[in-house]
Amino acid sequence: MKFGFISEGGEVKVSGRILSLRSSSEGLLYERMSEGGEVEFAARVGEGARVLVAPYPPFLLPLQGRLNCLYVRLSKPLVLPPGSKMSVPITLPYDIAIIASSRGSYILIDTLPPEGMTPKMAVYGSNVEGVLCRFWSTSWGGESARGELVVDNPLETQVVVTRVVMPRRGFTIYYNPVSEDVVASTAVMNIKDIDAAEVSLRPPEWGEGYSEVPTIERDKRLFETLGALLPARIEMMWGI
Amino acid sequence: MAADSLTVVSTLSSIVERFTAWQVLGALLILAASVIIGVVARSRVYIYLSKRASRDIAIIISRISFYTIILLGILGALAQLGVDISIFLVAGGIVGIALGIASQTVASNLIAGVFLYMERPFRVGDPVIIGGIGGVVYDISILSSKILRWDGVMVRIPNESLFKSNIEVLNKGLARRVEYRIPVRESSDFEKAADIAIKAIEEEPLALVEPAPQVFVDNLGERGAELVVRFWAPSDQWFNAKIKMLRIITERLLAAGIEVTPPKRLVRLESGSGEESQP
Repeated sequence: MKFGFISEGGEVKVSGRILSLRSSSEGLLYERMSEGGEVEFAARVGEGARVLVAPYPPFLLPLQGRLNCLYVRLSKPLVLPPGSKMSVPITLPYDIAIIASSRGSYILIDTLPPEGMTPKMAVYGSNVEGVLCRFWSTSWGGESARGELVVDNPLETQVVVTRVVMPRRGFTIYYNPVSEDVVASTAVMNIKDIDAAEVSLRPPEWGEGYSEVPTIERDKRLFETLGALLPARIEMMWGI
Repeated sequence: MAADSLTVVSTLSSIVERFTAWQVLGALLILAASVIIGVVARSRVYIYLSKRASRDIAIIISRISFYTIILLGILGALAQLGVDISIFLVAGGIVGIALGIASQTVASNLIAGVFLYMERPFRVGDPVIIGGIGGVVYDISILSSKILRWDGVMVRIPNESLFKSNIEVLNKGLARRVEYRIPVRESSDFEKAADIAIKAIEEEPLALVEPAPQVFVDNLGERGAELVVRFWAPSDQWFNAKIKMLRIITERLLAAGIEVTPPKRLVRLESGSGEESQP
């Protein structure tokens, strides 16, 4: 079981690393080790805090939470006839977050990508007026979350969708600690023109036994502070 | 004492007798109007400029406009009283020329500062290269701007020089391009070399997927062929990406047996002369 709380004295193997929580002379110690046992990162955890390993919305890496959108390149473009609606399953990325939990407050301790994945970025739109996003290609065959893309084409012409840019606000992840299944938000894309669309997110449909990933304190404050500057909708005006 | 008082009174009465009541009234009205216009102009100029430039600039220019209007009002009032103001204008002109010559540099810096505020080519905190000086803009003031150089040294650049220089603002775009020109032997397997570079770029989080990277061979020169590697990185990570990737790509090329050619110098020894010539 790789997701869930790490018990004191316990360890989990995640993404080719060993994450452990142990008592030491310095107090409770969280350590990330390579498979060879070399400590790559360590943090002292205060009493009363629990350490959670969970999949987290993919905006932590590679720029420490500074990206506000996810650029998804579809491996197979979608061709939508006029006035049609299409719903397709897609894969979505996640970052693995190690979170200290205490009295309803969640602080990020450590982050790592799923095994074999390089967190990449891309610019959507022009270099000056566009947006820098986390990049994802649905052709990736490794660890990922299950998602869904719903595309509505109300136009009287056909459109082809090759990419989707999703907002950070509203991107939620649920995980099943037993089956290790991860479910991410559903992206709803409303076509506005042959090369423009509006994208928003809605919570995924998850089954029993799934837990919602808690929002870390930094993100909570970011959403509160930025308000409308971090919108829940993205206008794709540089092509779809 | 009494005699002095009498003298002052008689002087004042003689001055007052020189002007008619209408002249005095007219002069007072001109003065009052100039004060009112000056106050209104000062506030309007301040409101206009404070939205477009800094508060300091707005205060200075609004005050200059206020005092200019008051000065014109005083000259107008004197003219209304029949005083010959041409002497003031001539004196003012001479003083103006003298001040202008003395403060030419200050004035040009001031004017350049005003235009910089209007144009706003950069803001405080922007990474810039101005006339070969690279650093972060620390302060923009009315006469000069301060750049905190990359090595931590503060440089003051007069606004006039700054205005005339080429200014490179390094964070205006979301991403910046990194380019290497790596010289490799002409007989190298270029396709293999390009694959190595592309793979290294794909494995680097700071190298963007879009705009897409480019790797190609260009320019057969004295050091062999040039393998041109181009990729984009977020503007604020450009330097980190640049230094990291050059090492990675070079190491991988060498490990794959692709020779990075050093600079060549052909030295020919002429028999008997003992001299070296360099073609």
